[in-house]
Amino acid sequence: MASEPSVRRGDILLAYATLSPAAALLILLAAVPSVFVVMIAFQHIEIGELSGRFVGFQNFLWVLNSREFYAGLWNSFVWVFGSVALEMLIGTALALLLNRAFALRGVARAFVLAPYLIPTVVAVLTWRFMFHDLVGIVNFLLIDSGLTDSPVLWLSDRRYAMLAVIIVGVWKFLPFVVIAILGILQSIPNEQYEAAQIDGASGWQQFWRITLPYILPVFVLTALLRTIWSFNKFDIIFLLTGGGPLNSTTTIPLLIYQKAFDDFDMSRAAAIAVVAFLVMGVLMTFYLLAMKRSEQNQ
Amino acid sequence: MSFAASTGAEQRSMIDVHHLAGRIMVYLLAFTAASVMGFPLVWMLICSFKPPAELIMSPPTFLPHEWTLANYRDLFVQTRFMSYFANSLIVASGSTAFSLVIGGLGAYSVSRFNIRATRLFSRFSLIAYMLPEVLLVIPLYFFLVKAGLADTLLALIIANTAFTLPLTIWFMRAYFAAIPVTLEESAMIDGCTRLQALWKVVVPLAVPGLISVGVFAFNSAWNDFLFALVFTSSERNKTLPLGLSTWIGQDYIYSWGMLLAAAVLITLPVLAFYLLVQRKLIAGLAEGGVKGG
Amino acid sequence: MASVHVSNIVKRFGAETIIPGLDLEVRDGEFLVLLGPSGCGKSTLLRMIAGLEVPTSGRIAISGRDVTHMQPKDRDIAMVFQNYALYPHLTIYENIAFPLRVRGMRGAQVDEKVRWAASLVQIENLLDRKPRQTSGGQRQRTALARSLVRDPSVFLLDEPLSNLDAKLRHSAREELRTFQEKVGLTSIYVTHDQVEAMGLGDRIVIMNGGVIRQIGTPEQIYHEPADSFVATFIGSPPMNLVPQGDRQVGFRPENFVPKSQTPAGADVLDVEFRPHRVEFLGSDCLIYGMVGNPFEPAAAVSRIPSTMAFSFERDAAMPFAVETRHVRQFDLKTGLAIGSGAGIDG
Repeated sequence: MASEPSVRRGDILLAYATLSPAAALLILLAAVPSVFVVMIAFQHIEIGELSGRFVGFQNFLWVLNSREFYAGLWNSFVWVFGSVALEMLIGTALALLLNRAFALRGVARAFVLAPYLIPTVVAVLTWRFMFHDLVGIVNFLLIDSGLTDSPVLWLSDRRYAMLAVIIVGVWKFLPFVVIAILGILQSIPNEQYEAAQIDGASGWQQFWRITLPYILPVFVLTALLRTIWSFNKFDIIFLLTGGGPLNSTTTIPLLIYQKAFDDFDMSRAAAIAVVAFLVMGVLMTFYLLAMKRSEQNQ
Repeated sequence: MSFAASTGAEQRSMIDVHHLAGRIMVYLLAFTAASVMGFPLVWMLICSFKPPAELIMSPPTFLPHEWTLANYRDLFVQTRFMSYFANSLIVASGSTAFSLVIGGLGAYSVSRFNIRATRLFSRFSLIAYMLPEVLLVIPLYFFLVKAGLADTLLALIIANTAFTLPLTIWFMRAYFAAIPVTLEESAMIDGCTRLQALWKVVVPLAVPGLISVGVFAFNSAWNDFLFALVFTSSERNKTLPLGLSTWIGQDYIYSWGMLLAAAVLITLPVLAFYLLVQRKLIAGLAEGGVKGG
Repeated sequence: MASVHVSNIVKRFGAETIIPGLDLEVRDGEFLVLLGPSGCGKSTLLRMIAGLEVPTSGRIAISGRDVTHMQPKDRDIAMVFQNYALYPHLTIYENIAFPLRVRGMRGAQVDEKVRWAASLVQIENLLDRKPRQTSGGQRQRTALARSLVRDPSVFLLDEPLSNLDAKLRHSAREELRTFQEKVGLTSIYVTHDQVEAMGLGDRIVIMNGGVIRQIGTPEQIYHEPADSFVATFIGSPPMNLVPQGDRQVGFRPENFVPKSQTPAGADVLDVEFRPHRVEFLGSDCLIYGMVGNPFEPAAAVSRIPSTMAFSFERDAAMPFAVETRHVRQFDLKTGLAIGSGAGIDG
C-alpha cells in the first residue's frame, strides 16, 4: 500500500478523466486500425477503393502459397537473427568494457551511444556514402589493406546487400543493448564482488558466478525486445536498398509496404501483415512471459 | 600465477605489470569501440566541408584538401531545406507538447490509481508498442483520407504522439511513482484538491523527468520517417527525413556535399539535446527498455 | 470544543476486513496515543479521521460536525507524516506558508503567521533554506510549524519520530509534548513503540487486529492490563505469563523478586525459581530462569535493582515471591483479564 492512495469516490472520476485522452488516442490509433487490418485481410479491395467484398480466407491462402512471402520471411529471419545476435554479443561486451572506470569514459560512452540517437536517414546516408563502390571509404580501406582486389558493390550486389544492411543495423542499434546491460551492471552491489574476492574467486569466476546470472534476465529481455523491433523495422532497410537488389533484402515489412503502396493491393498486404503478426505473436508471448517472470523475481 | 618464489617487491611489481597490461587493454578496446562507432559520424562531418569535386574523387581523401562551407550555402540556397526543417520542427514540437500533457495525465492516473482500468491500460499499451508500424499505417492512411487529414502536418503530430505514448507514459509513471504519495496527501490536508496537489506539488518535482521524456519524444518525432512517407505527399509538407530520403533515393547522386551538410544539420539538434540530458536519458532508457518499452 | 467522535467505524479493503467495528472518543485538548503492532489498523484509523481513507461504514465527527465524507482540506485538521512530507522544491518559509497561500491569503498576513509559527518551534533562522539542507530534528519542527500555522482543531501524527535516531528521538519527544501542552491542541498520535506511547500519552489506545483492546492512562494499562495481549505488549521485558489450569497467571519482572526482598508481613505468593542467567543492564539486572512450584515449569524473568545483592547457583531452586496484589490472572482461552477490576474503557 506504500505508494498508492486509497480510492475515494471523487478519485475514480479523476482516474478516468486523466486516463481517457491517452486511452482514446491509443484505441483510435492502435486498437481500431489493428481490427481494421484484420477486416481488410478478409476482403478483396480494388485499386483506389477503401473497402471491398468479403472473400473469406482467399488472401491468406494466397499468402501461404506465395513464394514472395516465404522469400520475405527468410530475409526477415536472416536480418533479425543476424543483427540481433551481433548486437547482443558486441553490445554486452561493450557494456562490460564501459562499466570499468577509466579516464574519458564519458567521452567513450558518448561516442558509442551516438549512432542510436541520430535519425535513421542520416545513418543511411552516411553509410551509403561510405559503401559507395568508387568513392566510399570502406572499399578504399579494404583495397588499400589488401583484403580485396576489386571494389565490392555493397548495396547493388545481391551477395553482399544483406550483409551491408546488417552492418548498418548493428551499428545503429547496438547502443540500446549497451545501455540496457550497462544499467543492470551498475546495479550489481559491490559487496558481492568483495565477498567473492575474500572467498578467493578469480576474475573469471566472479564473472561467471556473479555477473552473468545477474545480467541474464535483462539480457534475455533485451534480446527479445530487439528481436521484435528488428522484425518490425522498416525504414532502415527501405532507405538503404529499397528491398533490392532483386528483392534480396526485402523483409516482411517492406513486402507489406510494396504490396500496399506500390501494387495498391491492400487486401493482400493486410493478409501478409496478419500472418506475419501471428508469427511475431509467438515471440511476443515469450517476451511477456519472460517479463512477468523477471517482475516476480524483483 | 604463482607467488611462492617471489619476494615482496617482486610480487608487487608483478601485480603492477599485470594491472598495467590490463589497463592498457581496456583503453585500447575502449578507443577501438569508440572509434568504430563514432567514425561514420565524424567522417560525415569532415566530408561535409569538402568541395563537391573532391567528394567524388577516387580514391577518397581523408582530411579535406580544401575546407569549404559551399555545401551548407548551397543547401540553403538551392533546396527547400529550410522548409523541411521548419516542418520537422513543427511536428516534433507539437507531438512533444501533446505527449507531455496527454501522457503526463495518463501516467499520473496509472501511477496513483491501481484500479482495473489503469491496469488494463498498462498492459494494452505495452502490446500497442509492439505492433509493427507498417501494419498500422495501412488503415491509418484510410482513416486520414476519410477525415480529410491526408497530407497535413497535424496528421503527423497525432500519429507521432500516439506512437510514443506507451513509452512516454512508462517513463513518466516511474518518475511519478518516485514522488511519495504523502506529499500529495499533505497538500490535500493543507487545503488542496487532488488536482491542485498534482499541479502544485507533483509536477514541479517531476520536472527533471519530464524534461528527459520531452527530449525523447522530440527525438522520436524528429527522426520519424514512415509516417511522413505515407501521410504526406506534397513538397510543401515534407519533413527533413523524408526530404532527405527523396534525394538519396536516386541512384546516381552528384550532390553528396549538400546531402552531407544536411545530414550534419539534422543531427545537431539531436546531439545537443542528448548532451543536455545525458545521464537521465541513459537511466530512463535502461529501465524503460528493459521493462517493456 | 475540538473533540473527535468515531462511531461504529468499519473498514474493508476488498475482501479483507481491517477494522470490524470500532468506537472511540477523543477529548478536547488531550494527547491520545494509538498504540499497536504493525498491521493492527492504527494508521488506517488515523487516515480515516484525516480523510485520506473513507470508512466502509460508520461515522466520524470532529467538534460535533459530521466529517465522514468530507475532503481532508475541509476538516480543519493538521497532520504530520512519518517522513514529514515537506515540499522539497519550496523553502522552509514557503513550506510553512503553503496552507495559507492555498487558501488565498496574501502578503503581510501570511508573513505574520509564518513567522509566528516558526518562532514557536524556534526555526526562525532556517526560513530561507530548503528541506534537504536541514537536519531531521529541524524538519520535524518545520512540519510542526506548518501544522500550527492554520490553527487547526485536531492534530494528527503518524509515527513522526521513527525516522530519527535514538538520541534525537528522546529530545524530540520532549519538545513535541511541551509544544502540545503549550498550544493545547487535541492530538492523536500513532506509534508502535510502547516506550514512546507511555511517555507521551494522556491516554493510550492499544489496538490489535483492528480491535481496541484497552483504553487507559499509562498507569492503568501497565498495572491493570485488560488482556494478555496488552500485558505482554507493554513492558520490557513483558509480563511473565505462566499457565495454571484453565488460566494464565501474570506478574511483572520487577514484582518478581527473591523472597527475602519482599516487605515483611505482606501477602505473597511463593514461587520456586531456578535462575539460569543474569544480564547486567546498569541500573537493573535481569534474571532469566524457570519457575517451578506451584506452577508447571515455565520460563520467567525477574528484574532486580543492581543495588540488591544477589548470588545464585545455576539452575538451583531458590525461593522467590510476588506480592499477591501484583498478581494478575487471564483466561487461558480468551486472554481476558479475570478480576482485578481491569476493563476496556479507561
